[in-house]
Amino acid sequence: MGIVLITILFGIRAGAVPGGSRPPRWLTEMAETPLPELAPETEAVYLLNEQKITYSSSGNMVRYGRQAIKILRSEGIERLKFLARANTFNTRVRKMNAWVINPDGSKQGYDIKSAISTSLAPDTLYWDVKTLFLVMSEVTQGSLIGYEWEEEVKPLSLEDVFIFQLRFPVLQAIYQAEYSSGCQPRLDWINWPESSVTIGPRSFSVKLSDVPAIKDEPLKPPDEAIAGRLLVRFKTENAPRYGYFFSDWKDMGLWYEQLSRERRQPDESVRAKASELVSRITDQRTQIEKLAAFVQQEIRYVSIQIGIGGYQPHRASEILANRYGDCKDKATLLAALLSSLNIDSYYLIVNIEPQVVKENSPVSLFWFNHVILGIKLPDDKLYEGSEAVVSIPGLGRLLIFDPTMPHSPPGRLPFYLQKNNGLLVAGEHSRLLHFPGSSPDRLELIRRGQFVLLADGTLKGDVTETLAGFQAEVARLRLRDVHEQERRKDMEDFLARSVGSFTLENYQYLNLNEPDREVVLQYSFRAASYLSKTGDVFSFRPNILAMVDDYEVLKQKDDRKYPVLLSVVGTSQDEFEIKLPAGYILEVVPGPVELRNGFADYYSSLELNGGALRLKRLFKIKQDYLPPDRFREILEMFRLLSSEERRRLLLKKTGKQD
Amino acid sequence: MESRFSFRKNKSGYHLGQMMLLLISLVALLDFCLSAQTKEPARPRPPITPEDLALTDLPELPGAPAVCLYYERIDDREKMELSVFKRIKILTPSGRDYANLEIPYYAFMDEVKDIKVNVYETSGKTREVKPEILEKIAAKRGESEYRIKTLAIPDVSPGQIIDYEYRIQPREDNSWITILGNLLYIRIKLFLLNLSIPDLYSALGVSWSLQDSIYIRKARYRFVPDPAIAVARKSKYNLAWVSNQLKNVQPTIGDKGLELELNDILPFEKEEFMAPESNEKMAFEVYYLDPSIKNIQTYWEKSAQAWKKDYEEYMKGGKALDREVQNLVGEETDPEARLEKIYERVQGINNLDYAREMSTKEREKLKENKDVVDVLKRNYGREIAIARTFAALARAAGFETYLVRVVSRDDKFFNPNLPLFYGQFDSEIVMVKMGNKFQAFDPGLPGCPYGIVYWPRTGTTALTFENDRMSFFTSPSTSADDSSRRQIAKLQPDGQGNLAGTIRVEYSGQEALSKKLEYREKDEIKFKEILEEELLKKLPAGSKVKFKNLVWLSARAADLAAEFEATVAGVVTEAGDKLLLPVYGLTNPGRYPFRSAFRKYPVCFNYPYTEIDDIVIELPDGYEVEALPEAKIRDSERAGFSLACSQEGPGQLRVERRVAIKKNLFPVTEYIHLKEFFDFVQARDSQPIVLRKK
Repeated sequence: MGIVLITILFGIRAGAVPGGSRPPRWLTEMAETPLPELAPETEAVYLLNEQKITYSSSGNMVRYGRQAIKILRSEGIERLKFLARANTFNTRVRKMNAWVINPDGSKQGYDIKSAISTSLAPDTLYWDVKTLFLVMSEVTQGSLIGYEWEEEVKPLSLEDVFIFQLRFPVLQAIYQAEYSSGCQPRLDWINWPESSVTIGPRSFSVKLSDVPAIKDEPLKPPDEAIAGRLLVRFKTENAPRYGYFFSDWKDMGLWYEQLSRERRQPDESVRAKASELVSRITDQRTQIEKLAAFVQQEIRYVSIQIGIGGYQPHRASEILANRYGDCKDKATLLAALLSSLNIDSYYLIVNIEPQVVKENSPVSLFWFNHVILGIKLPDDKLYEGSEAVVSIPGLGRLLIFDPTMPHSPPGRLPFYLQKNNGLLVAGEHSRLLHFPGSSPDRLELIRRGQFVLLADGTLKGDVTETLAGFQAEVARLRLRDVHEQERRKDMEDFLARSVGSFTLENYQYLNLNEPDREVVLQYSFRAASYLSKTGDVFSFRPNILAMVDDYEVLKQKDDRKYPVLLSVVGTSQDEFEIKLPAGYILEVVPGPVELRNGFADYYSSLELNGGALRLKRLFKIKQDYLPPDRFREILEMFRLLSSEERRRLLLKKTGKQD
Repeated sequence: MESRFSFRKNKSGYHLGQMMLLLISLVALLDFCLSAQTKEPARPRPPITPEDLALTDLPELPGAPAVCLYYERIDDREKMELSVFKRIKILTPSGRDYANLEIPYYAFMDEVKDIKVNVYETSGKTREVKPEILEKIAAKRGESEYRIKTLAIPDVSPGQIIDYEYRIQPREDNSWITILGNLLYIRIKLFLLNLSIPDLYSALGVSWSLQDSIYIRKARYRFVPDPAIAVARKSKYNLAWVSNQLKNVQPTIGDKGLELELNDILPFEKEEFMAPESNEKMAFEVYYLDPSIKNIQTYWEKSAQAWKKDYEEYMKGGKALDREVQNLVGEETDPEARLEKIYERVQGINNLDYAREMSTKEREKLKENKDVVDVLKRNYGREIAIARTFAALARAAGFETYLVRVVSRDDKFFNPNLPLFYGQFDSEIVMVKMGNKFQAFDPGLPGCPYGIVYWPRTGTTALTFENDRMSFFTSPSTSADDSSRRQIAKLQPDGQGNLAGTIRVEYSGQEALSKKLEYREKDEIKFKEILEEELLKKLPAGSKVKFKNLVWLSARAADLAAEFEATVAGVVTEAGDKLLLPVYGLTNPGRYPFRSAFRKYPVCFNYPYTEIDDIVIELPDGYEVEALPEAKIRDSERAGFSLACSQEGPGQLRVERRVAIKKNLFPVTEYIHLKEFFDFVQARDSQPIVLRKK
């Protein structure tokens, strides 16, 4: 406080190393590398992306990496002018170097002393990881950048991953491993065909050329789900000092069980809380729901990760006392509470990004970012027919439940878990488990509207929307925790997409705080000039409300490269009655519109009943993940939906006034 | 907006001798002075009332997750201490996030002390909480460290009230001077605003940004001034305060400093098309003023006079300037042509404010320009140096020329009570008398065409100091006709519900100049992508555009045209034997800007502008026109609209449309009219053209 900070520059800019460590020869030689013909929009190219691991019999790993990057367009600079590595509880960054050779011949060098470090991380209150950034200040179009780093790892899992496919093309990707005798490396290629490996004495290497960049496409899976990677696992004859070799998912499950077992033991306080919560409740479903609701609603999400705390939960009693914790803490407390009632439960370790963990994914600890719980159901009746129940041979029925997601009650599988895969931590029954998904037939959105079209062109509407499943979850995520003005804005944004200019007369959301009930949204609005008049021709759009949030997918420019990923399957339905203005009738009542393909079904029909038009629409998404060769099915459907929203009907005057 | 001058004289006992007003006038007051201070008894905080305990929702902001019942902040410059107290009522489960506390501080200089937390149950029962305090690094380089004290208050639920407080003080073990790598830190008790352009007569004491992420019921701010500051003479100064977006604010000023009490501070929420946030956000600032400044008028006059002295010195060029002018204009006698040549010359100077990032080697080669002759000789300079060079050359060429200091209105509006000369008047333009009127120039802006001023410097507060008189005035504004976006399209139904063809977009005036400046660092490929994306956003969802060509319409002007192949999606619909298409289909209803019936802040466009469309639609084979929308014209002082659709020949329609926004600022009271105008435009745009089968 009250302090003036004066910066004195000693002839060089902060960050650069005095005297400038000279670029190494491997980098200067790269400057001479002729570039192949690249697409003109290529912003940068990796001339080299190399990673080397030295694995000793103790389990200690030294990871070394270097990269040479040529900046082809200024747009590439911001994303590539820094090197980031992290000091964690088991990783120590020993060396970081960065160099830039500019087109004018000037050179700059940076080392770890000029790195900026930070412990800030999204959604995490405290994390003891220190991320080090080496940021270069003098990169321009045409610059050649070089990075080199070395880090020592005392791994939890004896594995290494080489991500060779990136957002920019890679001309040469090299991975090398050296290991002590008695060590057996196992290689798995992910999102990439198996490639040749050069094997030497206690070493192997892999060289790849011309790895294409990952490009953007609407509704594509996350990069982690499509990027080419090499997973290397080291199996040793003797148990190493650090780390575990997980030969299969069961191995990993057993390890996690051992790591967390003591944390989920209920103590007196936990048992007392469980008793209090289920006091006088005898049926097990209600008991489960009481405990689940307590953890979902009463334990606030706070992530504090220290040391191995990124993997190991806090003690159940501590979580209960604090009334906060992260995902694994919430799962742990619920497990302990259930255990107090003699209900077994098992961790399920997942990645909330879909398609990252696939059914055939090789064993790796790197895949996951979230912990939920599988609750063992005591009999066949409980949660019968629920989408969140799976049967495990030898273990029985499990209710998959996410204690961190406050909007999905027991029995409902949150959208990000549907058809996902997770590691079941259940002793000898540990395995990778495929989760079910909801049915495409389930009505997730029903909109019932009463509309009146007035002769002056105004449309008055009263609409009731009933949202279930995914639709309800998304509405709650968006609206439950915001104040009324933001809810109103959300409503206005939706109506603007549908009817353009309008006046929102009233609206209300019901049941936002009751996750086991459907969300109901009621609103009334008025849109002037909805009925258009051109000469003697009157027309209006009968579908009124948009059925799809956006048409991003129609922006696809070239041939589709990646699969299409939507959030979930499910059905939306509209039932509207539009009272026509007195003295007008429909010129033609068009027939139904129907399109059914492998991706989705759409059906709409109009029926004239006296002076009212009845509109029924149904849109059913049957598949939420489609390979690129079926992209045309999606295009066909979204084009139809888009034109349906603009479809107009003609009215003519009858001369009669009712 | 309000402000006051207190004329309070500092009564500090720390006499440091003559305090100089210039940049180098740093006189340090070391830490040991702190030991002489005595502790002032703390003012009692308001008690928690039964109403506070019973509160379940905030009537002023229904659904709010939490409310700050009381906030107290004391900036004590004598003790070099900041103390903060907050009382937060948790209203909903998500409001519990306010129980996660983060206290940022400079760890290499300061320390956080006396963190205290109390939690009140709805019953009124209280418990002191001692949560584990963790410390994380926000950013660290070498020894320089910015840290955050982090704590999660346990066992918090809706209905409870959290009190917490802390103090940030200088570290006791901190020496008064520290060298960290390339940085020298000196602990001194005086303030300099800006090392390159010091404000001669004022220095910021404290700036309180009053709006938080939650509603604040009651707040108390206190500022205890520093006994010695850089603008003081003989340890005396005046205190002035200025507020923004506060009504009836009345701080109290006494021997112990300034105190401000406020009630009912809403959280700040952005709206589309709003004025700069700094203009709309509630804020309160306290300034130290040189004791010679008795009122704000004196401040502006003295500052302007000093500015005048500074630029006149810089613009001195003597014979060197005359020679330069002679070389530039030669025998040219036409004044316009003479001035254009001068303008062209200064536009060719390498503008360091807009130059690409330079290497160390390149930077080292640069020398400081002492005057305009240096600028011309070295052919590089900063924006303001280039403007002054133009003014000096124009003057040397015999033009009546004035250098004008303006408030760039892209990030702020002028506040006459805010004693911040260079902070507010941050740009210079030049006014030259041509014939019997003055013309404005913006030579300091690279690529700015002759006779055009970039929009932030138009229609904004400007200042000159001539003939020993300071004058405020408004810089010249642009009209809607000066800046246009014109679309020329040739389209025809493609049989699949779309209109397909070509669209040429011509940008002129500010529309073109803004693009040129905004995307100056983008390469051609990116620029084309941006233009494609921009057009795509204006068209109905699902449309496609493909960039074809970019044309700079004039070597001197910024005007440009971009040509595209386009498919305007889903606008043609069949109805029985008829085809319907909107008379103006090049619009995306989902991006309609004024959706809400309510408006909190004035609507602010960057500049007045006109949208012009000239669209030719080829009729599909076998169809003829049944009905066309009537032509519409609407005009007011705020905005204008015209739309006409006519049959050009048997198979062709022509749509001509014009929308003009004639002002750039619309107060909230005019929102209803502006919304009604845009509603009208949208309704007219969507009127269908009706075609029937022949």
